[in-house]
Amino acid sequence: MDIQWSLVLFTALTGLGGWLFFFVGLNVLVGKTDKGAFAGTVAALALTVVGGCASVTHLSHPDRMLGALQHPTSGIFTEAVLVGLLCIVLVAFLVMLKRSLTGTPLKAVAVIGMALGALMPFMAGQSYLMPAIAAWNTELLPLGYLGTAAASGAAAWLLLIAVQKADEAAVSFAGLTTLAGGCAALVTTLAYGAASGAFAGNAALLVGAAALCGGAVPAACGAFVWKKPGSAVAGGAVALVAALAGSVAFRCAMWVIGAGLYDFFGLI
Amino acid sequence: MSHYAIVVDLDRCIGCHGCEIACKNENEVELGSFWNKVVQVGPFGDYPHLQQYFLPVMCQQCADSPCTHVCPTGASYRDENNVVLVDKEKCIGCKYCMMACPYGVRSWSPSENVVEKCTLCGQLTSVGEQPKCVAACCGSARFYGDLDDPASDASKALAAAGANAVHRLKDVGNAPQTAYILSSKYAAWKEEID
Repeated sequence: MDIQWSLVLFTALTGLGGWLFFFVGLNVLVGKTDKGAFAGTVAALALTVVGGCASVTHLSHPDRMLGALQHPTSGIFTEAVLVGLLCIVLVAFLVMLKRSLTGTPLKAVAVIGMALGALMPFMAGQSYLMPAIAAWNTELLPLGYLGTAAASGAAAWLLLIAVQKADEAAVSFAGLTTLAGGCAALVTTLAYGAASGAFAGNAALLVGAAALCGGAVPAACGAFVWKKPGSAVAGGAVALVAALAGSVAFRCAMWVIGAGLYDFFGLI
Repeated sequence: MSHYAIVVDLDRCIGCHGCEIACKNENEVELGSFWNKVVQVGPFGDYPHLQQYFLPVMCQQCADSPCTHVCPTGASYRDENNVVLVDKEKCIGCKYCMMACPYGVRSWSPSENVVEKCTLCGQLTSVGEQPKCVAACCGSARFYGDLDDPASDASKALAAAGANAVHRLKDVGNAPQTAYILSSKYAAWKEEID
């Protein structure tokens, strides 16, 4: 199947944005640093909006999208609702930060945003589960979407607070979370590649790149920064670029291996 | 409830593509697009015992249609006779239904930028006529009707063929209703088609 770049960018960017906010929210809960919250939320909001716009370019008649309200069980409806809710929560979080509202209300909004952000890539992957396409019809696919997005978000948070010169303990902790995100991406990518048969086909290179760039490199960078937080900017930058590239590669691989039971009209 | 579908007697199909052309003419299906297409299966087997048949494919009118499940706007729907249709005014062009169709028998209209498909020629059947592919079949190999009505042409053709000769495309939980009659004396039914 042809790679649908609009949907690749939509899922990669909203996944990155969602998981970037997950780590912004996590920092609110654990209080490691006072850096990065506002910039991280703005970046997460921008990524979510740009990702959402990318998905619209996939549609030939986006003007009819409100019709989805009449059919609220589809995957596209779920994705649209999640994007909308996440944007609302991010704006609310930004307003609370600007007004210096802290404590339980801020944590509550952070937790809601974390849940939405974490769920975003998983539900995007869920949309593709369909019996007609055997290579997609496994829960390992949305888990792969989630894993690669987690690595991207963790790396973005690491880079952000490193650039804003957060103290070493916070950066080190961000390195640890990037290591965890990278491991999640590595495991879920390899599991999906094995389950879908992608390693045997012409997507093997893409899945391999997804595992290496999306999982192994962020994990290695995260481990390095965890132990040596002084090199966090370089480590974070490499981790983010690699994680995003891996995230895109994973989604491209999904399209390449997606073949229907039959394709009689040759249009898919 | 009714289940309207087409039954194709492959024992009688000569692969003339007449149904394909009749469908295109009747429904103004654009160049490069299909609502109905004749696929050649085979030849297969070992020489000199080769087998081959022609398989006209179109919407299989699945009882549990994946296309209608994934459609975000309800543009893909089932009417009161269980016929799977597309409301082009509601289609946003996401193509999820094309991905979800196990058979790849949904089409894309480049001029309208919407998904379209076999309608069982509702414009004809609603006034008592046969779908154009059925009327045009020179081998009288196509039958249309309500599969729940034993008196329909489609049900009669299936009853006459016998259960062993009746086949359906591979079912992945979608329960295709379109049926094919192929007797083993002509060819073995192939579930996997290259």
